[in-house]
Amino acid sequence: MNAKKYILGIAAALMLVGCYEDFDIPAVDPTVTLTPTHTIAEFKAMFNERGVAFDITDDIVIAGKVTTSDETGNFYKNMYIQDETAGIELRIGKSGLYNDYKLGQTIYVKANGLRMGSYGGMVNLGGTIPENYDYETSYIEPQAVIDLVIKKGEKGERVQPLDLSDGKIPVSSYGLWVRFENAVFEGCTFYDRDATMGGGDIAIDTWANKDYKGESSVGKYGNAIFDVNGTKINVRSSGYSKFAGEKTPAKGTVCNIEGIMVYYAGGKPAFQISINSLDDIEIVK
Amino acid sequence: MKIKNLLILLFTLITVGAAAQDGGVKGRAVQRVGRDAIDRVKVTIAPTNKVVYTNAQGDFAIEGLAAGDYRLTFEAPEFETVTLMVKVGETVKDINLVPMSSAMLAVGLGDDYFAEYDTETANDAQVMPSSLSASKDVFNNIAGYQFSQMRFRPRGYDSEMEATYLNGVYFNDALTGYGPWSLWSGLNEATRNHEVAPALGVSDYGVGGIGGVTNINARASQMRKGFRSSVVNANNNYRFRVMVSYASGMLDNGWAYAFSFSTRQGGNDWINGTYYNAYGYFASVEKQLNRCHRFSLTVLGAPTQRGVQNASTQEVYDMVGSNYYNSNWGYQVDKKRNARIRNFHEPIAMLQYFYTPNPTSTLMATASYRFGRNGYSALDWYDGADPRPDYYRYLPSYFERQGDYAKADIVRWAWGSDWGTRQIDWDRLYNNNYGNLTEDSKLAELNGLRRSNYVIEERHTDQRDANFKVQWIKTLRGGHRLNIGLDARYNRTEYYKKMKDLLGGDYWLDVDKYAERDFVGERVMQNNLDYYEANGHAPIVKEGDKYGYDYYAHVRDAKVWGIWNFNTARLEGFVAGEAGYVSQWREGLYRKGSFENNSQGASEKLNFFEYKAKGSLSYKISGANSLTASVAYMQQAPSFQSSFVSPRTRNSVTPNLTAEKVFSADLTYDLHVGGFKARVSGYYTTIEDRSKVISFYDDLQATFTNFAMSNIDSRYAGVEVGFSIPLFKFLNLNGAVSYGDYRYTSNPLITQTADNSAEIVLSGEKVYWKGYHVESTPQTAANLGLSLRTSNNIYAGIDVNYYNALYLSMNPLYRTDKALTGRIFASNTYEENLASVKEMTHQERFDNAFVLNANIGKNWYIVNRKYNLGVSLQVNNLLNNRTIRTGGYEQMRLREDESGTTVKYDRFDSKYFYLMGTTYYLNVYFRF
Repeated sequence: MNAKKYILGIAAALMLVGCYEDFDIPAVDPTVTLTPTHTIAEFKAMFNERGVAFDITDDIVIAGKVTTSDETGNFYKNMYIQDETAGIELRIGKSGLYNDYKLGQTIYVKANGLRMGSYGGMVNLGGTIPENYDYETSYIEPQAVIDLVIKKGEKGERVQPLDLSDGKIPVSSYGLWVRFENAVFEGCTFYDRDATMGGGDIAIDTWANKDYKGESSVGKYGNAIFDVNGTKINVRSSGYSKFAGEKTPAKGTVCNIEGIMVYYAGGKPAFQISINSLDDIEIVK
Repeated sequence: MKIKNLLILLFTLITVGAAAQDGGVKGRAVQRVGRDAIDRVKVTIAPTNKVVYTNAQGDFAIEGLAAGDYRLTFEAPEFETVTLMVKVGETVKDINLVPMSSAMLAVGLGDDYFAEYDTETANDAQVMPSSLSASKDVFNNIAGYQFSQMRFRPRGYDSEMEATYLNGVYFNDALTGYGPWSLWSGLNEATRNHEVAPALGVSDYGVGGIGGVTNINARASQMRKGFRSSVVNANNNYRFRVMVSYASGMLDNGWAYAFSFSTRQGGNDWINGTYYNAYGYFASVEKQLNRCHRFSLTVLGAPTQRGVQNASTQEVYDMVGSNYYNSNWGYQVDKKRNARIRNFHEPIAMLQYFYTPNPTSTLMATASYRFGRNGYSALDWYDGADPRPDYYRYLPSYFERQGDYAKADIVRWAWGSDWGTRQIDWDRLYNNNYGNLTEDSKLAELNGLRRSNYVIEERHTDQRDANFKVQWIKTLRGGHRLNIGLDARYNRTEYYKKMKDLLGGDYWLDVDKYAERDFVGERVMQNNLDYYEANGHAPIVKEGDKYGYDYYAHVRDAKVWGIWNFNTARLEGFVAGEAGYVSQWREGLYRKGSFENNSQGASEKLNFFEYKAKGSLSYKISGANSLTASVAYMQQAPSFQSSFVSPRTRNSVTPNLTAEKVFSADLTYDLHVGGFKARVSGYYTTIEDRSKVISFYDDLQATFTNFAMSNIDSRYAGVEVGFSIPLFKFLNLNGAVSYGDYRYTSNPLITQTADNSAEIVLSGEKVYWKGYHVESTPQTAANLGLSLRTSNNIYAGIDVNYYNALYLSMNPLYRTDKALTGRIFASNTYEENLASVKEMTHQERFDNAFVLNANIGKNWYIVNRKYNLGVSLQVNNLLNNRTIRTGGYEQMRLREDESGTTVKYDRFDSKYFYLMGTTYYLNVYFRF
């Protein structure tokens, strides 16, 4: 019967073996404060002076507040920031950026090693490119590089939009969060590039065309045209966004719109607005 | 007159017969060292079916034998089997002492089998090893101890072809058919006593399959009397194992009891992030009421927590400089955390009754119940970047394919310098969730709370498995034995997901993210529509809550079977048959938005008639050698998991579902001369009309999809050779060869469906598999070993093993017409087209490999031979070869090649597992 005592003793000792699933809770990432070397306007001017895309080799730091969110999927692998002087697009190679960078949060970009270029007439900041690349900049990636380059600062209030309700759209507003009041809806179309339905612009009653069957993703975009004091703007939305299938208002509906002011040289019209979500469209009447 | 003569003749015959009846044999089984008696040694007398056991003094006696040559086999757990040829005359012959050597402890055996090499897809199941029990058969023994390191599967079969019984009850998994070994892993002592029948053999407890039958005798009276304990230190699966056991033996008052406890703890030297935190318990009590009635109650369980390894691509292994890289873990603060933890505790309770009205009849009735929980955790995420570090877009090759070599170099640099790149970045995932504050929610209570984006889910397979069994064994005159039984099984298994960890967030919203991406609307994207309709919103999931999916798998099974064994002077064999019904259905507990009318409640009931027919005939050429021919034909139901296209979401049944048909034939030659033993077997097997469902994320569809494959046929042919030759005194030469050819012989059909829509993605697509090889086992395996045993109880052995023809598990998608899109052009030469097609469809064959293993051990009997102390050490892969692939799989992914103007698909890199470098297993045991 000694055996029993043995067994119980050893069994008891073994119960004290260490725990494997006991972890400390990670701390909240500290926020940083850096001193910008350039305002965003000064930074963008570097591109405009050259007129061509270039790799940044100076220790430039810019700061700005986040104005966009990819939560609904209308933005994809890009994000806009702006300071008091200007706004700029950052091309970052990951989805779910809204999880890392919050609307109104200040972020700092250490631009050395990145590349500034343009697309359709809009300046953007991204990664360097290999030979024969389709775009002037690539994405900032992978994560380890993003962590080195983009630093998270204090969270704060969202920026106030620049009011462009008079229909006059200055170049300096490109990349800024803007607002149009009393814009009149004229209709929405998608461009059937692959001629799945005969080709050309085809009217739809939703904000985008999520079910486009063609190979080109261009056909998934919806072009919702509004009139702002005689200026046409295009609220352009992705077929991958969560609101893509939502119905647009009826023609003639008056709306207040907020979004990023995008200029696309080839667009008809060239003034495009990218919204974060349908909350950015407020129906007036 | 004539009648008188006849009577005299008859009388003479009877008396001669009566005189012959007086023949017999008796003796005593003792330990070779110390001559201590061994009780409960099973003594089998061939050619009869007589079996007797030695008593507490080690004595046995068999009477009533006709004069002639007999082969006596002495078997006992922990002892090497002894075979003696005995010439019996007209008296009871006393063969005096039968010395038995204690067997080298089963070092390493057992646990190695259960270290499943888990993968991220349904291939999980495929790489489940089949168990090879220690067996008296010389081939099986070597295959079990040596070949198991390469996930060798005897004859190429899945483990469902090997029938495993616990105390006479069929215990293979009711849903998958797989071997149930993990239920008692770590309880090596309690399950040591087992019997193994050859591939096409039958056991005393059932007809079995085509891959052998193992019955584990885990009852109080079946455990060797005494106290035993052992401590293991190892570096292959866990660091330590401690085991203590006690068995009372059958006491004078008719009671017997036994218990055992074990624990396995720690990780290994080769794979980071993996570990064992496992316990095992066993308790059994048995009561012999009188000569006729006996009861037993046995309870056992193995609460286990185990960190799991993942396979990666060679690119990753090369980049980190190790073939043992494991992507499943990462640092949380400064401690390693594994996302994939198996966590289960499935106790078994078993009540048995034995009725022995006379020495030739036994009735056995058993009820068993398996219950508890079985979870397997994994990362789940709602949105954003894939948190798995070796996701293909995080690798240099992804950028190289786009021509961006600079970025590929940056990625390589990050892998080399940043733990957050190389492994899961838990701190990032937490911070992601911290920042995800809910604002402006329609549900005011959620505002200000953090919605988790990354979580750990635990996928549960919680079984309620009840078995009832009654059987009657009758030994008849003239070496015949009849065995009939009735088996019934009830299984209800709940499959669901449980929220294991919100990783710093406050809640998770239970919606189908894939459906949400399809913009189907609030209603359709609900996983739990009833909850949504009652509450107006999706369930808000907290830690410990069920979510995602929840359904029951029901299996009901009843069968009758019978085995007739016969045994005459020259012939022995059996005829066996079984017939029964299986009914299986799904019962959805959630009403899913995308399948409102086909997800909740019971599915149609799938009924299958099952039957088995088996026969075997042995011809004894002489007492020393015999030739055995066996054949089996079976029809069996498909496994539950193959019967439904997407059991997580709906009740739809796999198209073309039929019962599987299995045919197998075997011819075996056995030789036993003195200490020389050899077996040569040839076999031929076909398995037809199998079905299989594989679930995976399809990059082209950007959603979770299921492949339902049907009409899979395969063929297995080969030879097995095993031999053992005593060289001189202490030295023995053993060897084994398994040479097989296992192939698919049909082009199965697949139907691909998505989890979030009723749309059929692919329908009736043919998979060109004909001629391809069955995966995941070396089709050639060979062993040559020297073993040494000295008179002072030192054991040593060295084995060299050779493996070849191990093939990678195939992704059916790569062998479809769809995958060949853009690969064949009229303008190309035949050779160019062929090369392009082969690039997509070829099946990888691994290089051959040599592995050297060795063992050494010593036994001491101390203090008047009362105590037994032993040490054994097993060292595997002595040459520390770290480039031997043991398995792997092709990713269930097809990549659209965007470089040209036409659509073309490419493969993704395959993932591999490697044999660990040098490992050791040191066991110190103490018994009394």
